Amino acid sequence: MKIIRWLLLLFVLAGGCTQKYNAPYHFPSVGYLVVEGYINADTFPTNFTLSRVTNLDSQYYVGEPGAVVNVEAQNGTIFPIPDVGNGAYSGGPLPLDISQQYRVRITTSDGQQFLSDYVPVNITPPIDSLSWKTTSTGVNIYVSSHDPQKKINYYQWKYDETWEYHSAYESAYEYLGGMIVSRPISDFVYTCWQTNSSTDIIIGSSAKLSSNIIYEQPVATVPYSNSDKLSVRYSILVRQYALTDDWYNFNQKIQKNTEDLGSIFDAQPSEIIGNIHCLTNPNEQVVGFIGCTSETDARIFIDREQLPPSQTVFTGYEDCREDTVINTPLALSTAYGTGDLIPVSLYYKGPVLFGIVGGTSFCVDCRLKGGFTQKPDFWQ
Amino acid sequence: MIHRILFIFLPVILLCLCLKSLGQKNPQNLISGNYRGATIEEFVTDVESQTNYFFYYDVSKFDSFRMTLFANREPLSTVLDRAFSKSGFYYSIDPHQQVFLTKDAVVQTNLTTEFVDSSKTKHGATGLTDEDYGESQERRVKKATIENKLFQVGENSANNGQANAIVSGYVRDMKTGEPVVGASIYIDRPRIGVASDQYGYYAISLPKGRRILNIQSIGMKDTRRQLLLKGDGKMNIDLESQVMMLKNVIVSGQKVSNVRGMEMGLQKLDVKTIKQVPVVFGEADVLKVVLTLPGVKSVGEASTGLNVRGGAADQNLILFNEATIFNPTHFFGLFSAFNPEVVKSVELYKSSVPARYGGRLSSVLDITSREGNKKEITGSAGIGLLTSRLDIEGPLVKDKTSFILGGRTTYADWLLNLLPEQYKHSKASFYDLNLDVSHEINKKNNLYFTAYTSSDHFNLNSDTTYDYMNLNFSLKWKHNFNDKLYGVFTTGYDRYQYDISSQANPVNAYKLTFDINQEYLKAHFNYYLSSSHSVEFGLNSIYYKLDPGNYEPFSKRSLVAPDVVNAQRALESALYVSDTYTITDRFSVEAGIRYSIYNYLGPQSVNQYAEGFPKTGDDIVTTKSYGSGSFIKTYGGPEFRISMKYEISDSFSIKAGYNTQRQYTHVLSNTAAIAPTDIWQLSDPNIKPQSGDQISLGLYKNFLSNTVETSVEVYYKNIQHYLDYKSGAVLVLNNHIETDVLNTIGKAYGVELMIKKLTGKLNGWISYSYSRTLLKQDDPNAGEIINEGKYYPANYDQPHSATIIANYRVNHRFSISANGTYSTGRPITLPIGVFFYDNSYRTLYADRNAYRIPDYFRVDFSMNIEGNHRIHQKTHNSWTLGVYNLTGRKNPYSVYYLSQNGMINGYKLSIFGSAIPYVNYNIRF
Repeated sequence: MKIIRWLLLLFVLAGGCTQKYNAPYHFPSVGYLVVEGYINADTFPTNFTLSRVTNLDSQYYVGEPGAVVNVEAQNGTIFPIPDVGNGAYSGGPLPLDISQQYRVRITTSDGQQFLSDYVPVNITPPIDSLSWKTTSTGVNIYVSSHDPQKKINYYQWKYDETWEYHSAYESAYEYLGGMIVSRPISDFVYTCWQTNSSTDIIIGSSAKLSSNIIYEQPVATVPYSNSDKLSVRYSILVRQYALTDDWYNFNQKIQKNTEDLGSIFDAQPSEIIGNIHCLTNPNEQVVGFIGCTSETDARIFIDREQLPPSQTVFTGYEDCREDTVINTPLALSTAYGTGDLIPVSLYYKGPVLFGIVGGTSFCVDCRLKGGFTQKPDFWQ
Repeated sequence: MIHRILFIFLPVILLCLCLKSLGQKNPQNLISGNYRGATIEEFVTDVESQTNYFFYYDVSKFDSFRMTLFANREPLSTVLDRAFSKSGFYYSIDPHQQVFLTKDAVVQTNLTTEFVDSSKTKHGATGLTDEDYGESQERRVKKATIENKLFQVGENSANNGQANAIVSGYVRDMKTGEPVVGASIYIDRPRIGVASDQYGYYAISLPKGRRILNIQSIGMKDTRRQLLLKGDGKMNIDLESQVMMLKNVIVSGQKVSNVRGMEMGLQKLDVKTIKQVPVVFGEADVLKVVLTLPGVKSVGEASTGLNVRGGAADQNLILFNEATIFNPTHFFGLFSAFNPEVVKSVELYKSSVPARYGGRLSSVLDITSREGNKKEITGSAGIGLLTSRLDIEGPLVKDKTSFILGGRTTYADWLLNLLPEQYKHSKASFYDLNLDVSHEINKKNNLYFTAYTSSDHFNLNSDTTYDYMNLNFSLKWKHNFNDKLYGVFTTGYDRYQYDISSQANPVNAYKLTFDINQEYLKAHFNYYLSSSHSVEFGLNSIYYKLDPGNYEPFSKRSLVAPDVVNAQRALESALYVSDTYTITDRFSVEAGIRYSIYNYLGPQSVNQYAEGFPKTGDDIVTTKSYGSGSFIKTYGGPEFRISMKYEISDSFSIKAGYNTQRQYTHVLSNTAAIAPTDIWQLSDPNIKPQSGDQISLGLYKNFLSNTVETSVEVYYKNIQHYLDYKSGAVLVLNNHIETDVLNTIGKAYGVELMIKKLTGKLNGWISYSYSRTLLKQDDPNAGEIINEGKYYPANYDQPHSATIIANYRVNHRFSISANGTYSTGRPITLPIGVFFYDNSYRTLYADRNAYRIPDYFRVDFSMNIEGNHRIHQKTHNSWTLGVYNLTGRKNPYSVYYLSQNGMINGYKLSIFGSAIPYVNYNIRF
């Protein structure tokens, strides 16, 4: 709803605003079961997570261990999905028959029994391409796909983005035992990689089109400002899942309830009813939708050099400054002893080592922004 | 001196011809009486009642005159000699028993003969009875003289044995010739009164004989007419605008109408009041002012959707000169789409809705535009922060045909230029245009033509474009069959349409269009049967054609598959009759019945569902096709409109009413605020019409010589078949919408208090209402039970609300206004829990509308500064300065929780979160 965003901006000008707010109400815990995961139709394990609904004022994950989870086929075949701890269940790969429909039966440790509706096996078509375009504020990533079988109309995408970034100053030295010594190559903290996973629900549909085509569906926006993702090299892995229309609608409801709010014309939040039912207590709500699908994926890389040269890209190190510490043991120990300052380079006046140039640990050690110096396997 | 008096009295003297055959009350014309300090008026009234004499005099000359004398069967001349001895006052009596009282000079009655004769040939014997003084330029006379003149109404020969006669005519503005609506026309003894209707027309049934007709109207100088009533006849009245009378006492015309009027729950606003109320950006806004009235609410500041007495926003019939306006807003509801320069008055019927209106459950908002100036071309222009407007009006044929043309447009794009870079290419604009033409064919026939359009356009960064538009035409013919009966015949066409389009992605480029059209024909008759019965009856018929959704590709490369939801057609007809029966002076009843019939028409294919099961898309048993013009489903029934009034005293009355309503159209919207992209839906075999009834009781008491009006009204209302929505309902492009909606029943009740002072330097009103609106859906067959089948509050249920509107006129050129509003926060659905899903914490919702957002409170302030009031200058100008939301309170519009980067954050959205100053410049020419 772009229109709404526009209106919000108008109101900001007119003095309108959004403020943080927490309702002064206390809600008793309902403790409904939450089931997440899908029956994997591919040659990978099937994973489920079972958890419980918690209070609004306490956002934490309460796993539901000790349940018995089975995938059942229409023909009576049963595949157990074992408990792997903390509410996670994993089993398979399952030898599914594409002509069969499947469902999931869950018996929790307190004896409650839950059963999903039967769902068909969806085979996800491959991603045709990932593409990207620059806008004035960042880079938009698009996915394109089509179903040669002309069966699949509904999709969900998730992504993992990984980006390389560099600290402000490359340090070739470290302060060890009162001495400035050379830093081994393996300990360099100049180049880091960080990974993020999508937290939004990204869904798309070709149901309104005359052919089963997804063309440049936006999946992610990478901003120039407030994020260093584009500062060196960026990569995104987009994973695609084929959905049924019910599954799509379920996801859309969650999306509307939890992500598409804050406009003037908000749809009213609704109850989310999935396809899992509590057999022992029909009034007990269950959150979740069981589907059966497979995953296809694609990855692209975007280098800083591919972006417009005039474009400034945020690094997070804009405020970094170097300091030079006079080369005396006391000064060095005071400056570098605590680790707040890290030596970067040597400063000679003629032949004399006059001082040691250093930067704050944040500006030198890229790991302090959350990344790792270990280069990912897929990095090219 | 003499010639001056003659000049003033000249037209009066012309009257003597009409006065020849007065009934003989007292053949000798002898006078008896005991006068103690009597004024001349008291004396004259008494003498006129005893004798056949008529008196002519200038009241102002006699203001200090008092007489004390006793007379027992004495001739007038004797009495007057005694009364006037040494007083400087004189009298003369002519052969027609007319008495002229003068100061310092004596009227020579024998001089008048030749004037009488000449006028006889010029005007004929009854020349004055069917005359319109205001329009007749060559005989324009000063109002003061008209007041003292005696008008004979009806033919001398018209004595048909009836005690009463009907006087009818138009009340007009002397300066512009425009009709004056809502002027009260009454006589004092016995107390009989009526109000002029929207054409300025009135008809009043009075006992024959000599009567003083008083005429009062807001903003107009009070006046009166002396009538000699012999039979039915015409009496047109011109009123002088108040504004020019700088030293006059301000007297309001409608000051007793709330006690005396039949109507209950009727609120009238004239545009002057509307313009005084401070509003955001200073755009005088009809709907925002209506929102300050008791019993009227809205879900928030960005919405002009009205919720009247617990009704939904789609349950209001919004009429603009008889045309139905489907979306009365601009800018997504921030402004109303009515140009304040063209609007004359607004009437809101919230409890006793007259039988002539129908088709909506909660209220009728009747907005009337002005008729153009019939005398000269004038205009006005205004410049505000967001809009400019220009209005021109004037005669096409002088005194016969006039027009008014008004337009408004926005230049809000400057606001957009302040936005961040990515919104630079956005565009937003709106305009509205009005054209009204009124034409007087002859005394008995009038034609009125209205054209109206409003249009909004949004283009967001060349991505999605939104357009919406109202288009209305109406043609009205008013015909006076005779003094007792007139008819109004109206035909017209109303349309509302919107489209949403996007070309951002060439493969998915689409355009979604929606429109609703109606063509209508109305015949309405007013029949003044007698002084105790006034009957209204009529017939109207509306043909609807609605295109619920048309989804099409919008570029050459687009692969969008066209999706067209079948057009819906229906015919709604109604017959009605109502009678206002004045049983006694104090007790009257208005009883009406309206019988409406609704036919859902083909061509259409209708889904049929298994009985007793929830309607779902999978459970369609068959789909039946109907041919063009076939009657698929008929609904109908009587609607009762009853109200009664009892006046306990002159300033205190009690009224009660009972009303039933049917509504055959629905707005599908699952947003809290009514949105321009909401879809209308006609009742069909699967979606039943809404119906409702309301019972109400009111007490009305005026204080301080009727300058302060107070009222208390209570009501209770039932609503059936109001549509609510299943969780996650799909409303757009849904070919089986009945599977996504729920039938609810509702009840609403409340009490409304109001104190109003519309006159004096300090004027305004204070209103408070306590009201509840509750809905219930407990039918397990509907597929979903809301809140366990219990009553739950509607979105717009705000139990307490209070408003103060105050205006203080420091002097004629400077006034200040302030208003204050408080209301309970509206209900919302809050999350009851949190779960982790798809890599983010997310909220879980349950009980609908179980909680409330924080309360609402706002204070606004404005100043109106007018230029000088000299009449003879080229332009008159005025400034309005003000501050909206003076305290800068961040009133919540909504409260919501968002999942962002994996975590849940709660937010409060305020539309206007700080004090907003504004300035407006207006110029009249």
